[in-house]
Parts: sequence; C-alpha cells; structure tokens
Amino acid sequence: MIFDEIYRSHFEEIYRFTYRLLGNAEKAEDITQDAFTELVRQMNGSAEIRNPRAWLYRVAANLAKNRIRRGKHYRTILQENVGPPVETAEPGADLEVNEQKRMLFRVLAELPVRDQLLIQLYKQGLTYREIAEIADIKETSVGKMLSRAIEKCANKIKQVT
Amino acid sequence: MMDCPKKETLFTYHNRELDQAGVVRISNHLEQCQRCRRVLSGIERNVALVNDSLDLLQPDRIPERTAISVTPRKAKSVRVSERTGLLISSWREGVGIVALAATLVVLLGGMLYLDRRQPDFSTAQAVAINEQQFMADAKEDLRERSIYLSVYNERTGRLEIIRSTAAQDTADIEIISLR
Repeated sequence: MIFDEIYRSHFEEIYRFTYRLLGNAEKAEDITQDAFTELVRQMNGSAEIRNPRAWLYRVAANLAKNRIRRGKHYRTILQENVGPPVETAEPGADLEVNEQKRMLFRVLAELPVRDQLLIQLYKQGLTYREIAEIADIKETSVGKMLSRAIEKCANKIKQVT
Repeated sequence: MMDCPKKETLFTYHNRELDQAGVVRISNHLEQCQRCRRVLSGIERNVALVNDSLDLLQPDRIPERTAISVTPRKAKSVRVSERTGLLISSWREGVGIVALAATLVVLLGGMLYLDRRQPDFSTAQAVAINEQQFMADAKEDLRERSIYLSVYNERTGRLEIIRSTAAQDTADIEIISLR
C-alpha cells in the first residue's frame, strides 16, 4: 500500500484517537503528524510494515503515553478552552457542552495511563488482537483489563454526572 | 448448569470476542441464570455510558493533512560549513548526499535537542530517505549542545562524521572528518 493512501485513510482516525487521549487539539495534531512522519521513514527504509494501521496506532499511542506520563498534558486540559462554543438554539447550552467535555477529560486523566489507552482503543472499534498488539499486552488479557478499565471509567463518570 | 462465568468473560461475550463454543456455553447459561443476565445488563450499561461520553469528546475540527516533511518544524534554516579538504571534494561530488545527510542531522538534532529527558550522551539510529541509503548513528552532547552523527554512505562506502549544533530556529552542520 502506498503511503498517500494510508495517510488519506487513517489520518482522521489517528487524530481523533490522539485527541481523545490527550484532550488537546494541538498536541494531538503534532503526534498524528509525528506518527505519519515516522511511517514515511520506515517505509523508505528497509522495514516491512504488515499492518500500517495498527503500526500507526502503536506509534501514536506510545508518543501520547509519553506525553501523559510526563504530566504536562493534565495542566493543559484544566486550562484549555476546549474550542469555540457549539452553536445551539438554547442560550447557555454551549457552555454546558464545553464544561462537560472538560469534566470528561478530567475523569479520563485520573485513570491509569494503560486504562486510558485501552478504553480509547476499544472506542476506536479495534479487535482484541489489535488492542493487544498496540498496547503490548497478551491477547488473552485484553478482556480482563478492558472490562476493569471500562467499569472504573463508568463509575467515575457516574460520580460526576 | 455450568458455574457462573467471570465478569470479564461476560464482557468478552458482549464484545463478540468469544469463540463459537464459548458463545454457545454462555448463551445457554444466560438463559438459565438471572444473576448473570443482570451482570451482563450492567456491563452493557457501562459500555454505553463510556461510549456515549467519549462521543462527546470530538475535536471541533479535523486539521488539514499537510505534506510530510523530514525536517523538523523548528529548523527554519540550515547552514553547512566544511573544514577538511577531503570533505570539499566529497561535497562537490555529491551535493545531494550532503544535503540528505544535513536533513538527517537536522531531523535528529531537532528530536534530540528538544527532548531534554535524554542523558548527556544518547544514541539514535535512523535511515535516510530518497535515492541514497544511509545508516546513521548519532551521539548527542547536551553540554555542547552538539550532535555527532556518523553517516555511512552506501554508494561511496565512506563514513562521514558530522557535528550539528542545534538552536531553536537553526541547525549549523559541520562535517568534521571523512574517512
């Protein structure tokens, strides 16, 4: 598969994935771009990439995890204006939406990094096998880890809503 | 009736990730076990809650796909200087080769210089792009803010040692030896 086709097909989903992981549009764009740049280098080198989509998720996930672990993103989420107000008929509803987004990003940021990653990969509709490959865990462990991560996340959301 | 399955097995059943035999076993059990049906309903509610919540976390816009560049965004200019006569002859022989090497240096320079988590000396490996194949090995000296890069040019069979001094907007590249 040529790079351009991969870029066109997967750019948006990788961007959405990193955005939800980091809660920051600029950083998500940087990481998405970095992941594709790395793919160019690999494809121009001798490395054979059998599944570019999973490979991109893996690279983007590692870059995002590093950002999260360095702890720089959390402060940003708290301070960030999560974007222009959403147009709604009801006055004040836009503020409510933005506040809800901020609250959800905060809830996710409180989870262990691995849980955050598993939940986002699951949300992307990836299979257990793909999740295992990207998150570097055994396929047989995905159900157990994911089940607990979803439960923890749901409980936290219930507490704040 | 089989023993009640673990919660994660019901979760995996919900995700249609069980093999056929597992699906049949769990389906049969669920028909007879009200408790497990309740657990499964709880799982389904949790999954729906998390999914719906994550649906709210959409970016306001999807950025444009930009051309992929191998030069880092912050390196706006590159100046190449040379010290040895050997270098000059080589440089004249293959401007393209040096330009590629320079690109590589800038790329690695940007990566290593900006990443302060690295110890004083760190190594990185990279493979250059385009028509020439390079094997590169970089060493960084943060005390001097320099990156030493050895570039093996497969076409000529020569090893070129390059030093790059990176700043925020520029990267000065100097080939200090060639053998």
